[in-house]
Amino acid sequence: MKGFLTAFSLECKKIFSSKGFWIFAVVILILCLIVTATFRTLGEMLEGMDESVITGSTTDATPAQLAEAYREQLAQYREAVANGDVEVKWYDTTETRYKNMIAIYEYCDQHNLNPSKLTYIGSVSSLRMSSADYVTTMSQITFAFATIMAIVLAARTFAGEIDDGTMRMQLTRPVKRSVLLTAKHTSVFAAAMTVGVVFTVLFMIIGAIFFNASTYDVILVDAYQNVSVINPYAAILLSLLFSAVIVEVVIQFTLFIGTFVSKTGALAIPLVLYLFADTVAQLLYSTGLPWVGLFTNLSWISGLTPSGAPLKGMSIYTMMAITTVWYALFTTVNYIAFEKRDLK
Amino acid sequence: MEDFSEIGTTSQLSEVFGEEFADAQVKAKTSSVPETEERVFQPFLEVNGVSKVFRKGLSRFTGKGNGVVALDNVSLTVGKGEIFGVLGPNGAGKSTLIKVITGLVIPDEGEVALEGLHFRRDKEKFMSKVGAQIETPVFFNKQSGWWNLKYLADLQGGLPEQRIKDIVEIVGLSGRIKSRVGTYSMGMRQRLGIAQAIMHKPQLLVLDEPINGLDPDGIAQVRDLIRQLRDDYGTTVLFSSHILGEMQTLCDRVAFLSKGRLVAVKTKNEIERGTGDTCILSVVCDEPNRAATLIQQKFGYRTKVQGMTLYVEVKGGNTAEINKTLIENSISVVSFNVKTRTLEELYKELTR
Repeated sequence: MKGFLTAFSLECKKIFSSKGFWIFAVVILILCLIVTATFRTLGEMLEGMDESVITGSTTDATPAQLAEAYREQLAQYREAVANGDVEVKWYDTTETRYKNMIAIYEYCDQHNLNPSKLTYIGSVSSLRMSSADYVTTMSQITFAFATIMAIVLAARTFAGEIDDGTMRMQLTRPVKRSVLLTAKHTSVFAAAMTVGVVFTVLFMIIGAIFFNASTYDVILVDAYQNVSVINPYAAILLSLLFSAVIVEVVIQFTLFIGTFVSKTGALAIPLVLYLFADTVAQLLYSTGLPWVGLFTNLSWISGLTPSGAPLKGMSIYTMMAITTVWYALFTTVNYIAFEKRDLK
Repeated sequence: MEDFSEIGTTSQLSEVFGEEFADAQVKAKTSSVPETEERVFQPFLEVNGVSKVFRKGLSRFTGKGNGVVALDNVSLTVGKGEIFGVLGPNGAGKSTLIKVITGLVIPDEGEVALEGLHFRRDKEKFMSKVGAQIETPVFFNKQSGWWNLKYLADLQGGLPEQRIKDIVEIVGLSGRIKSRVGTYSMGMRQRLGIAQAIMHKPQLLVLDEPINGLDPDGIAQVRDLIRQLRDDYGTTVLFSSHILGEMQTLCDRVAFLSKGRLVAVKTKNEIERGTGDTCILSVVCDEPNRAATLIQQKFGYRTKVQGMTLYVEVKGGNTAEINKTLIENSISVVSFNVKTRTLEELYKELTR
């Protein structure tokens, strides 16, 4: 354990003493502040405007009435499917969506909640942002950049150090390879999370000062119509947790790629996949290639919204299982391959 | 030109290594023997039946399939306090052997042990006794020399700052230690490489081509440093070099590698005596062809006649007997020269 802590602190020292890290962090901050200024300006423009005009929601119906309306729509949909008027693919998102909406309105009815005062996780309740909406949005933007930063750092600290020979120098010290690999991995994770969490806290402060304090509770619904409502700040924490999972998996994947290719490949492949794989997978998936779902989908958070995961018909639990299997594979290969690897 | 005038003075080394190495120092001094006598060493580093094939693709990890044979069943023992050289042409397997010893290359077969500590089982204990500089020293170029040494010292488990300062002074880098390594010359990198290898007072110092890129003064200073570490502090040194003269001057024994195989291990005396029991005899006489026939018949040695000169490759024999035979057979000998092989000739022959 002592060996790991020493190696970990040295790796952190290496990252935090590099100019690249700070430049990246400052760039993220500047971009986020530009977005902040835009939101603030938008908020001022919408000041005094009626909420229903902003959201487009004009219904005065009760949750029970809305649930009943969705039940009717579901029945009509099923009838259309039975008559062959609607073509159903191997997955049926429409049915899931109707069921989720019914479950949400029934929940609101049972718990005396106003559905127009609720929002979904990862989304904003109104264009006139509340502080929670602002923090949620900025946290997502920050973590998207922090994940890119994690890819760059992981490629540099593993494949990069093997390429330039500095790994050789480190391995002639009395430290186990597995310990060094773990230290490198965790230090990159710590660096990316530091940026993500510190900035999120900063945005919470900015949000409290410059944005509307009234917040909406967040409703969660899974593919099996289990519904719960949580505080918006608890939702931000949940969102942070899911972001941490993405960062962790992406780091492990970058190290995995670095086991087989040089630094350039270890940087480019994860970066391209992170930026484009989800979109490509969604396209392939919706055009009838369900197996694509096995290769991507880290957006767990979307599995808790009524419309469900981007890869339709897949529950959050399926996404978690797929991610876990891939993560275990990457981890196992990384450790075994690094133990057996020759450093010429 | 690199200025190595400050490298490794006795007093500086004593300050740094003195106390903890007292035992080793006494042992080394007690066992010191005149240069002409063979030193006797206790086994320290043992390399047993090490083989390595470099493969490509996934075969790297499976250890199966064809590839380039880098080491083929190499076994050798290095004694405690010995300076042991590894010699061989490019691609002979020198660096691979050194990387196997330092754990950078995983052998397909065989194992390496240091005073009973097996690398595979006791890597941390094993490596805590080893200091290594492998090929061209590589550091974090954007960081200073000091930062790099401190980083490696911490990875080693922590060293007093004063020790690092002393080592920096010993290798003559005090003036530039706070500069970025990226601005260092090759010689300065070598000095920094040696500093990181010796700063934790290793019992085994492994140096791969440590004098590459150094000017003659630098080479002499590194040579003195190696010798001093061994003579005064009992450090065992294993190093490879292409410079044969260095090997001959510095090493107690030299291992010759060729195409991944260990072809010979020669002691310093064997090298100095003419590298063992083979010599070339050149005889100028009146009947070189008859003399050649006589020698071939009686001794079975290979001969070659060029003009009036007869060359004889004498193996383990007494050259006086040959002279006597020629005289007994009424052959007039004008000159009789024994030429032992130089290390270079031996190197060429063994690594051919």
